[in-house]
Amino acid sequence: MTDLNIAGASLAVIVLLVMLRMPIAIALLGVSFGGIWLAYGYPIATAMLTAVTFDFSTHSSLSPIPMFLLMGFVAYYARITEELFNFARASFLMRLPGGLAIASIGGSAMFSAVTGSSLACAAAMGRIAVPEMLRAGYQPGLSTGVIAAAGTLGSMIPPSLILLLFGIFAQVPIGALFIGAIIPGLLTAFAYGLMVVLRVMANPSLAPRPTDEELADLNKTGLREIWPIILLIVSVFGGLFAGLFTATEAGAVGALLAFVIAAAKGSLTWQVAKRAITDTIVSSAAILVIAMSATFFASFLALTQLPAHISQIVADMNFGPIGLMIVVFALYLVLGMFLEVLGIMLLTLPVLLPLFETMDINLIWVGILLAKYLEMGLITPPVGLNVFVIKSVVGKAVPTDVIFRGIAWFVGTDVVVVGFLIAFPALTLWLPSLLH
Amino acid sequence: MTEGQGQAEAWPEEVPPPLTGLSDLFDSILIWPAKVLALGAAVLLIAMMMVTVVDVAVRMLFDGAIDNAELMISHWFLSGTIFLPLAFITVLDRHISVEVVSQFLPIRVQQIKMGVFMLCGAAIFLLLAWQSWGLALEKMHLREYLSGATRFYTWPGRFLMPAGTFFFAVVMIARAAGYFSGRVKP
Repeated sequence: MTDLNIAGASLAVIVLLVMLRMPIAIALLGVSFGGIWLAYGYPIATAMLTAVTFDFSTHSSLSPIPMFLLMGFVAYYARITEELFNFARASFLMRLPGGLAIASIGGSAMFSAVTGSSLACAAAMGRIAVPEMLRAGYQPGLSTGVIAAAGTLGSMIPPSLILLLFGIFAQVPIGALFIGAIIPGLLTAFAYGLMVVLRVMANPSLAPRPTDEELADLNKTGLREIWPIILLIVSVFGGLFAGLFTATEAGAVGALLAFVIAAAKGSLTWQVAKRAITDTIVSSAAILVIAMSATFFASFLALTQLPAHISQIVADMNFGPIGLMIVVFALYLVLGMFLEVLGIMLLTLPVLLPLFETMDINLIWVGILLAKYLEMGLITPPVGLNVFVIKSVVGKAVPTDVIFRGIAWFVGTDVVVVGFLIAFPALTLWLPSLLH
Repeated sequence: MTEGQGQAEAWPEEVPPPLTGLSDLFDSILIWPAKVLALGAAVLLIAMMMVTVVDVAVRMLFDGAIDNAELMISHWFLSGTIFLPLAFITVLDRHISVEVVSQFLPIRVQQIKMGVFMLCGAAIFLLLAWQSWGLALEKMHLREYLSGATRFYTWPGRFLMPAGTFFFAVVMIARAAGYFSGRVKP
């Protein structure tokens, strides 16, 4: 067997094992180790295993991940973001057709600026908004679908965990990725809102309009109630985009501010702190050990020169950057149906990154497009994790197939947004260009 | 629910499956070090946050810096945050994995498959623990350091990887025993 054959076979074995539910980190690390052993011998395999994993674990570029996770979990468990939905509900958004659904999208977009996790966003907003929409007589598919889809904004609007990991792997400045994702994130939120308005205008029974009395009774949550969140977002991203903080510093300042705000609001209990810190260390370690294994996998592939061969084959096909991004979109859509999003990214980046670099494609554009592709994987069946989060909120009240049917409209909207982002790279690259 | 209550009170913690299901005492003996290591990771996480924030404050207010803050974060705190909670993740059954094909297999087949996967994971992480332990001892004898603002000793951080990965492997072996015995359901 040649090195290339071993690398190709290893890739196939990893996908098979992951689909059989082997933990992704173990599949990546174990198969890569076996591949190196087969191709280059045991001493090289063990030497590489120790060297690559230790080097990875001391890479300072990784430290924003636990910091931003901590900020998000504290905000989540201490409920310092709860007023965001009330604030959106008290705004003009409520007066639009499907107002509650649109207020949910607005609340999710604001919540996304505090958490980098789509699942946390969907869970937090789902608890608050889904019961309210069902109570108001909204169609169950729309009520649940809108929250599952709006939750994906957590992966687009900074601080996004997916963008953080992409930045680390591709060695792209995190600040540039974050600022570049703002317009695509807001465009996604706007497109979702527009789609809801058009659907409800076409079929008003989907979302009964509140009476004038109900509108007058709405909770008048104002800026005064949500100023702590505004302060948190402005401090973290203002400092990051103005060049005052590195990504790690922005995350650490944000995490400490989240603790302080929670304490000031009286919601920082021992239980809240314990859950937030526990979830942070568990999530950080679970993600970073996969990233470490993916780095080892990438080193193995680099040794065999498989990525270079694939790059050459694809370059010979003359796809061009837009054609390539469409092909990758199709690939991610298929993988997104079966694999977990971080797994998809870390499994494919070692092969795709050399390809993007060979074709001289702007990696900020690529990173944000990949984040958009991956977030669609969170809502496509059968492995749509956001759907399962919403399902856990609604219990037996709404069957899973109804949620997936409700989401289909949002997946369609996402395809249109992806089309815009591919056709007009300036939507993504304009804000980062201002950083220079 | 009162106003002061957060999501933590509102959402009950998920109850993880038993580690082996063979004996509560045996499980407790294995879970205890996993919890201690996770506590260590939590301390390092908070230290990472505090050192970073203080470093920012010192830089902005006094135009100074904490000596070797970045090295401290990357070589001590970050390593601990990655490796120390690994055993605890297995105890909580919170590995990132995908449930697609597996759920349609008979339960006994799933148990054997997961047991084999846990043993494979234990083998590779035991090897990593063994290799990194040898390297950590070697670096300790050499009193390994990096030159930052002042001399910064990196060798203590070298022990975090073998400690975390060794207990990770031990807990995976225990979980494999639970799967093989049929007492733990995937």
